[in-house]
Amino acid sequence: MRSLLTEALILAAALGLSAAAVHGWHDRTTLVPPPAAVVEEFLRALAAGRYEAAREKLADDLRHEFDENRLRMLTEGLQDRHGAIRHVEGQDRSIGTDTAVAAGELTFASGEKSEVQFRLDRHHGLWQISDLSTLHP
Amino acid sequence: MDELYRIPIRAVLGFIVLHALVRASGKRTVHEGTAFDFTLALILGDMFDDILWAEVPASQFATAVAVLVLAHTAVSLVAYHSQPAHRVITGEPALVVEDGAFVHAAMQEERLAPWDLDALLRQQGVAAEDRRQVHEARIETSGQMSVLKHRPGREAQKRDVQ
Repeated sequence: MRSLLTEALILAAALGLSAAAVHGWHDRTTLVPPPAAVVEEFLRALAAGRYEAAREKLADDLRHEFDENRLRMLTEGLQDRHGAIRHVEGQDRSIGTDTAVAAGELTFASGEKSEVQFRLDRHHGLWQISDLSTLHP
Repeated sequence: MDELYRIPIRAVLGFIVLHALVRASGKRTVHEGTAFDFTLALILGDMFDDILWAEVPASQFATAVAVLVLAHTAVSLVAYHSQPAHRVITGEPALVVEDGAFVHAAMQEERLAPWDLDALLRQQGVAAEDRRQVHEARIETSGQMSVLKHRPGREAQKRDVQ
């Protein structure tokens, strides 16, 4: 029983430290995925057809607007224009207090490269993509 | 280049949380004694890169790891107090050699060929020609072999001369 209590206390301490870092010291890139990582995971999920996972990276209002089918159409449109996505790499462009801009560099099967920028907002300490207009043609 | 300083911070914090939890869960997790313990160790090892590369927030990593360790500890406690539960969770040792003779049913169950068994016995210091010295040999739930030899100078038994 002592082990269970100790483990619960360790979890509480870890959560407390994380909350202090994110909400108290306004950590935006170390103990939470930075904007580049969010964009990279979003684009990778789209490329892999995991649209529900991709939606998790969107801000709440955008998530309501873009369901799986709409994301699928967006992705298929992108791939129809450029080919299958082979590689994704995210890069931070600017990070403010509660807004950021990050880019995803896409490498397509043809070897062509393209960069797509996204605006992100910070909600409850986590970065979420708040604008998908750059994915439209 | 920005990312380079964040990685060590995540690595150290992730390591501290993981180490503290594994330490609190006790020695059996570290030993990976049974399939049950090994499974936990495997999962924890795989989860570490999620925090290292910031694929999930630190809070989610800590929660996932802690819940797994808590569940492991709770199940271990149940196994400690209940022998039937212990059998279900960790399995039972398999008696593969008895009084020098192979127990073929158990060997088949464990998919242990005679030459594999001879190799395991050799690792325990028992040559094939000395197998009759073995009273019992088991494959324990950890996958390791244990050998109990006949006590020297025991009374002769009928089967010794048959």
